[in-house]
Amino acid sequence: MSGLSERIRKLTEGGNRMLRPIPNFSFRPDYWMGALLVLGFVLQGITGFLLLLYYVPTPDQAWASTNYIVTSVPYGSLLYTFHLYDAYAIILLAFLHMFRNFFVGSYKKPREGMWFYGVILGLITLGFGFTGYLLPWTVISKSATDVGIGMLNYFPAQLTAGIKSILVGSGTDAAELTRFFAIHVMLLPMLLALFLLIKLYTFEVHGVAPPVGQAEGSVAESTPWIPDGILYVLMLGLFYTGGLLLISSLFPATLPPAYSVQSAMTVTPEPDWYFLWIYQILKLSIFGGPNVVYALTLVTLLFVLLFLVPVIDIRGGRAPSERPVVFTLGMIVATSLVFLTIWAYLTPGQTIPFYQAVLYIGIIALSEGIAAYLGLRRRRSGRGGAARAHPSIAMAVLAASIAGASASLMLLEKGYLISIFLIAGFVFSSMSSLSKIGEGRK
Amino acid sequence: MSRDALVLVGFLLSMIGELLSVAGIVMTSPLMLQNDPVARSLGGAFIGTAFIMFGIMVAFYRASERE
Repeated sequence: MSGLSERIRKLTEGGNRMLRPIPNFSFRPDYWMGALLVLGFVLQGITGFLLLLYYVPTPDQAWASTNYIVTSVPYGSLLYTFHLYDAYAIILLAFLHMFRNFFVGSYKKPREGMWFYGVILGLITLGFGFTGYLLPWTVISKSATDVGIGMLNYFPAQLTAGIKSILVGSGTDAAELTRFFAIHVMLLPMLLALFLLIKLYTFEVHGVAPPVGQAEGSVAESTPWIPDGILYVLMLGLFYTGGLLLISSLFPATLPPAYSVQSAMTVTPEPDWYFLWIYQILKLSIFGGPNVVYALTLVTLLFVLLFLVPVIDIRGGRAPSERPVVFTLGMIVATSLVFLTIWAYLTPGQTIPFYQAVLYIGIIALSEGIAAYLGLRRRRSGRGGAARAHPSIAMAVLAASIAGASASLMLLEKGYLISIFLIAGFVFSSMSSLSKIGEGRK
Repeated sequence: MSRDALVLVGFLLSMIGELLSVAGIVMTSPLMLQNDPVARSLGGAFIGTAFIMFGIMVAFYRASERE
């Protein structure tokens, strides 16, 4: 056993150690969302492989084989539900991970690369969702995917020919399913692994971002990886896996009816929840018919802006008071995303008058803008006039966003939904990083 | 009760929880293998609880190691 201990010591000690000690400030769940995402993807790989043992990717067998998994394979219902819910958890965690790192400003120098690779990984994650949604060949998923692919027709053919030939090939159902299947189980996992490796390497180079207000490279007290770090990650991972298993078994997913041309006439094609906000933008009255091109351009622009955040916001430090405009815009985007998602869920298939969207998003933007102005305006401290923000700023901004969104929802006559925002606000504020991001520099 | 005693009691309780959920898995697994509708959710819930109980055990173990 002494040989083993020697090897472990080599891993964790000395200049060439592979597992660096963990700074004590990072023993908090919000510092480990990326690690949980990796775990989530590993679990997807395992459950996905088990589903592949039974799944048949042909139009006449896809739904039947999925139904066989759910009803007849031992533990099949749990397997199918777990794969689905783990995907949902990954997408939710990815959004939380992104917004958390946006609000604490960890995309700033020297971690711009982490942000770029993160956005690419986020797009790959959404690609998994888009392609995986079609695979069970249910009436809703097939119809919604066709609507999504159909939108490409509004763009100039030269632009979309390449994408269409990859996604649908000859245009038959069989070609579409085979291609989505190949992308889901082969192309995307390879891209995921590649960018994950690049991102992990960058992380090893720069290390974890210190809390806002703490200088880069300042010596923080740290704890060795073995046993404390390992035990902490093990604990978080067990809670994640156990919680998902528990939810998957108590609320098993039901498989929607099979797709057929006749059954497709009776349903409203609707994307899965993580694309509902885009769906809601597309349903706005001004984007009807061929104008959908403008909506899609708008969404594409949003993603481009998201990618370029570290390039746009180069000046100033990481504290919210040093980047008030970018911080406030981020709050508005985050709240609007949640709001549009719930709104789309409540109004399936309905065209939305444009003025309504302007009114509701306007209320959110205005209330958050005012809160941010009150909270984030620079306060002169006694010493040297350094920019300092009040500690409760983040809370004020959060409260305002919750109030704004709740007010908008009350206008929609769905008052009970306020509770969702209250819970979201609670979860958000319990991430204690947010209560600390207002603290000025030492 | 001292802090050490609390940690010990918590650790023992989560260990009992772990044993109970493993017993649950063993008892429901024959039905799960037949894909019985009731066991479908019950057995999965036992598996999930076993994971969580193990997580709680690790948490208490960490607490006991801390100075």
